[in-house]
Amino acid sequence: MPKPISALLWVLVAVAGAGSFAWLAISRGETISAAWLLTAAVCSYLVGYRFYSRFIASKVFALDAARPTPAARLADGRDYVPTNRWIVFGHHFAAIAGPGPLVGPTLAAQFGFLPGALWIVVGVVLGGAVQDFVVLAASVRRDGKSLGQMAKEEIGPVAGYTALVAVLGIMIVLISVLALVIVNALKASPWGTVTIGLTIPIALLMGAYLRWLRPHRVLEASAIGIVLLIVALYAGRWVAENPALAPAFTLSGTTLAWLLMGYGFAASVLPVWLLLAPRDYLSAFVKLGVVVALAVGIVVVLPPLEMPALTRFTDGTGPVFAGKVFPFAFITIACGAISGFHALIASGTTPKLLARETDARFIGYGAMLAESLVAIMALIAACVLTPGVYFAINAPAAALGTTVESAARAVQAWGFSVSPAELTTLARQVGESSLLSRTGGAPSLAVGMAHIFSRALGGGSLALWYHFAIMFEALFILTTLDAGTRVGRFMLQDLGKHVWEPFGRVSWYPAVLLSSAIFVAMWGVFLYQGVTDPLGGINSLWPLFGIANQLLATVALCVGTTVIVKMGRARYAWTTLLPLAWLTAVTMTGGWVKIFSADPKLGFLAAASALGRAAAAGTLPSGVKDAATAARMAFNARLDAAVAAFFMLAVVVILADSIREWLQVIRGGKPARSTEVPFEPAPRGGAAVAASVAAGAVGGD
Amino acid sequence: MARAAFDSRVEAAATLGARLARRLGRVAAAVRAVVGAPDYDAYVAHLRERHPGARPLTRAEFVDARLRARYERPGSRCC
Repeated sequence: MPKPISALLWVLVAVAGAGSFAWLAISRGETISAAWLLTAAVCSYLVGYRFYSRFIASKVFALDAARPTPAARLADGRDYVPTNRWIVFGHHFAAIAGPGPLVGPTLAAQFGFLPGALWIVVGVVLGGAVQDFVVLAASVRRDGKSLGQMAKEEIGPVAGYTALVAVLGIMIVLISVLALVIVNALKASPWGTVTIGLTIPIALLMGAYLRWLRPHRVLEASAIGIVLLIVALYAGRWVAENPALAPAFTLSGTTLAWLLMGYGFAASVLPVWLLLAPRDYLSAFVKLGVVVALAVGIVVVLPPLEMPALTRFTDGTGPVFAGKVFPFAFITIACGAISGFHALIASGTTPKLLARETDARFIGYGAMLAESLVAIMALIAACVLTPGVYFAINAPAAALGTTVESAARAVQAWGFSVSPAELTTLARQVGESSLLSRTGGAPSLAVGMAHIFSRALGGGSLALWYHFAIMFEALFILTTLDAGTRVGRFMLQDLGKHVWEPFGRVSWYPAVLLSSAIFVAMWGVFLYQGVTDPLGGINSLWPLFGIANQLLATVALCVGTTVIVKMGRARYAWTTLLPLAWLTAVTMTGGWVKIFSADPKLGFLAAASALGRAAAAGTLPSGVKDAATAARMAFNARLDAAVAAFFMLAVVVILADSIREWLQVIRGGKPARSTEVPFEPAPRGGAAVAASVAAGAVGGD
Repeated sequence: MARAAFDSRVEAAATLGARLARRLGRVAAAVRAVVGAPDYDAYVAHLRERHPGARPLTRAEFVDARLRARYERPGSRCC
């Protein structure tokens, strides 16, 4: 394209994006079309990708297509395989996009759509995508080393071990909060329970098919699995409508919690070909399919955003979770804006697949932009609901009471309009007995998705689409839960072998069972606590997850900054220091408020002492049965405070260790010894492999 | 003449079919790679090219080893 035309085009994209943002920000009092939000986001992504990611690729890393990647140099046909960049993009995207970008934006919608939208877009362009890209590029230059290894070798052993323990902590909180989201979506819902329950035998069936019937025919097995998923959807409805069967599948929260713990344990000890692998294939197909379908649906329908730009809950009194916009909008939305967990993927499988190191830009930065778009779509789907309905679904029973009348009164008292009849009708339309206080975000997102799908694609009732969306979300979450439990088991065995050697034997059954049970118990405690919490559990667990995820992002950005400093490019270190400074402010403020706030709805310690006082005075808050329950809840709150304190301490340790290293290197007190593999021109064979793989894919710009 | 024209048409259809099948095969391979299914053919091709004397694992052994490795460390699945 001739230069002036290209420049003009980019000016237009930038103006369209900025104009849409301005329109979103100034419109008050009337509903606004989702098209504005979508345009603002997509234009920002385009500008960010074209200019900022190119700046990082050329100036900061000086990525060079002639430099052989680990996949070319170490090709082994197993881990290191030079792969076409579109395939790596799809694989990387399927790995990073989980339930996080769906749930976080839905919860943060209690502030209105604007804070979430701004953070998702600005956060990803300047933070999340930068983190993923920098970690991927750093790992590609180091034979595909993991984040923990890089932290140890580039920063120091203290940072390395802290990172390792932090990852384990994050897995525990992550799995428990995601399990809680499923429990809240499935409790007292026979349709959902049967449909999700059936996905397990479907996976087993696929596993058996792939093992014995038609070995390794992954696509055939997946096609069968997808058909069976649709059958499961109808089977769920059939059971829910059958008065004899429905009660057997109408389960309480605690029953579901125990079932999920059993499932996690089974996934950790059973052979992977039987459950984990087939489930993962199925989930990847459904994930990619539904994400594309949701994008198409939103573009076709362009629904109005019923939620105002800002609600009164920016002041911190919100019922979905307590706390003000700063820092809680930035903790609630981690995935979609910046997610530390991605650093594990970007230093896991992906760096070993890149055919050319210049692909790191498209895959690291680009795939994160795609995830951010998923988060924007989730925000749109949540804001399609009227605020009254949104709060009736997402506020806990302690705030709403248990009848549609009390719920409507509570929501009206917050200044939103909803009638009891409206809530009853909506529940009936989606095939549930009640939608009240289904906290965790999944159900309200499913209602929003059902609205969009039924308007865009037609095809049956709202109820079918609602349960389809629930199935989609649960499939997402269960793949994180089962794979995460197994990985957690391995990490625990790896740590435990230093204490007792046999504990580390990964194929010795007593050790496998013991370590799996311990790891399940570790997240099970938090899950059970969340399920029995009258405030809904999400209020305390989701912020912990956000803080944990942002802590991991802090580690990743510290590693990235260290790598940049040691390349002799300290003048560009602001690219990672900028998001690092912001995240440090967010996690430290958030952690501090969650521990020490005097408001018992917000601060863990205040909640614990308030419960203690209430129990002593004999005036227990509604929903708390007896003094023993109150004592257990107080203990849980103190445990949460300790976990938050641990995460904050980890941030401080890693920051201090990193800053020490940077200053030493910059002052010249220490040679900038980096573990980067030195640049050697490609040997003919390796270059040929890389070139043949990359052929067909368009080069950089 | 008519016979020759017919033959060439059949031949053209056959090559078209073969080309279509090849293309479909490539699409299927790409889809399998995206969902992370172990790629035995690539492994065997790699061994044949780089280590001609080596005995490759059987398909079942290879798939088993790949799947087990995939779920042993964080880095394959996210939130």
